[in-house]
Amino acid sequence: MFKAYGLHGHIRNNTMKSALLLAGFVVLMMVFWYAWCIIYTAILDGWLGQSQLAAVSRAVGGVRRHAPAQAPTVVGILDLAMRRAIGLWWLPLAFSALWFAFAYITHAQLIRAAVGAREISRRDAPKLYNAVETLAIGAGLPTPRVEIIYTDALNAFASGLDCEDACITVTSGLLAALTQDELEAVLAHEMTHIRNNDVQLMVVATVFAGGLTLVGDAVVKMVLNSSATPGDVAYAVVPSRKGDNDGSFVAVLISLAIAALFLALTHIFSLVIKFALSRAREFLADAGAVELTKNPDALISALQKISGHADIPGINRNMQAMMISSDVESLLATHPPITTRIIALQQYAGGRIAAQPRRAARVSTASGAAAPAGAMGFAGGRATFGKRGVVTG
Amino acid sequence: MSSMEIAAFFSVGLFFVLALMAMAIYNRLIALARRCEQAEADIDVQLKQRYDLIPSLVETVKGYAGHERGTLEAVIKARNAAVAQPSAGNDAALGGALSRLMAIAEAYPDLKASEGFADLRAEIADTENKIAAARRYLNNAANEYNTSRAVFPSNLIASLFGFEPRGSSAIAREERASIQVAPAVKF
Repeated sequence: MFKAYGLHGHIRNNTMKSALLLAGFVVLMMVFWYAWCIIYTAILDGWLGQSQLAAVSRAVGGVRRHAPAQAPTVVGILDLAMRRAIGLWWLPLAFSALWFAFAYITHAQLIRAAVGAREISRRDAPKLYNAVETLAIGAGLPTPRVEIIYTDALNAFASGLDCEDACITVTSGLLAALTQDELEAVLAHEMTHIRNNDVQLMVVATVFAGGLTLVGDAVVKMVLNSSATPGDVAYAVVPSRKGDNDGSFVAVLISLAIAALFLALTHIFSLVIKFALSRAREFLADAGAVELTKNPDALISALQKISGHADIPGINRNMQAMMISSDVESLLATHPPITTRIIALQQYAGGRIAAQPRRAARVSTASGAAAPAGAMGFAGGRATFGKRGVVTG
Repeated sequence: MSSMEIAAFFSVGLFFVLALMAMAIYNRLIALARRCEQAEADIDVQLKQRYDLIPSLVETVKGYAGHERGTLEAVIKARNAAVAQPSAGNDAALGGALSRLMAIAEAYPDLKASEGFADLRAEIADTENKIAAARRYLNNAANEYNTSRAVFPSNLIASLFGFEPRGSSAIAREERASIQVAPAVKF
């Protein structure tokens, strides 16, 4: 969306993108509300043929000539729906406000529940906690909360709305598999995400704005899977009446198709979210990690260990709808391929360890479970890796 | 509008733009200076943590190796000196005394095996890591402040309002001097 020039530009972009996503969400809610009003009007007034619509149809000039007095027209339905929508214009705004308030209060718990993480204290994992604390001091940030997901998968991600209230989550598998240096490199990467304000954008994208695009995605998926056109869907929703006047029925169908089109906008919004998460942030976070630890090799070997093992099984199924499963997948991967990141570390950060061909490069393009954690996570798999690939936090 | 008025109009506009710029620069310098102060405070917190750990360490060692009185007292003395007057020299002296104490511990398997000692040792090592991290951060912060202060046009604001250059931790500089002296190894 925006090109970042330098770190401060990147941080500013993140803040601006967050604001835009929130504004986009509100607009989306309005569109949603209008679409709902169209459906309501088409079914109640158009199909059941109530008098209100007929009155409007008559009122709209010229329409009357093409349709019988009582029959609904597309323009009539849309017009009445618009009047209804404007009559309760505050509804989508109030809903957005309520949702934002809810997300603001519960975002940490929502994410924790979605990935099944548990918060730990210094006593539970002193090495991990001390490493995080030391890095926080080195980065000049308050110490974030530390959470662990108990799984063999190797992954880590940072979340939070600002650096005062951030959180770093790692899997227990990561703690077991990495050396202290490698762990520090991964934690430094996450710490940089916090410093760069990537976490805010991420939380806004997945929880605030992302939460309800699930609905739109689900609708679109349903339609795509059944290879039905919106018209077919409308046909299924509105059964034909015996002896119905063809003109009015078509009008109802077209209105419903327009409503479906509006609903599909939510799907587009979720695409926009994906584009907002620039892949550059991963390179920046890698660079920041090296700046903090002065150890590019540890980061490279950590990336190599993680690559192909980042899937967290059984992660909240609802969140996975965040990822779209279509052939544009590779365009929308939220992480650059690990090999590319390693090469960047070698070229620009003085890393020495050679990039190995990924063993698990062609693993499972099937049912992507770890999508949200991936979107926020430490490393992404290959772009062509399908839903699952996004994970290597 | 007469040319007089146009000139007045533009000079007022120019004045406002310049004033806004000056304000932005001033605020930025203040923010950077705050960060340096914060970083210094962070170092102090970690140093204090380290000083607080030392008495318990000495107590623990005393339980197993009470007759190493000289070394133990040297550590306490160095610690008190560092608390009383934090400086690079005192800090280095404390570091030296501590490492001698750790060296002694090697000779006492019971001490080495004791959980309390292991914990304390890990904790002290951890605080030392944190002190190093805090100093690194201070150096970065001071560096950024000094650069911002020196470049044009912020140097005008800096000299106008008396922004002094900040040491990228005086301790670090003194330490560098002491590091350059090769450590004396006696056999």
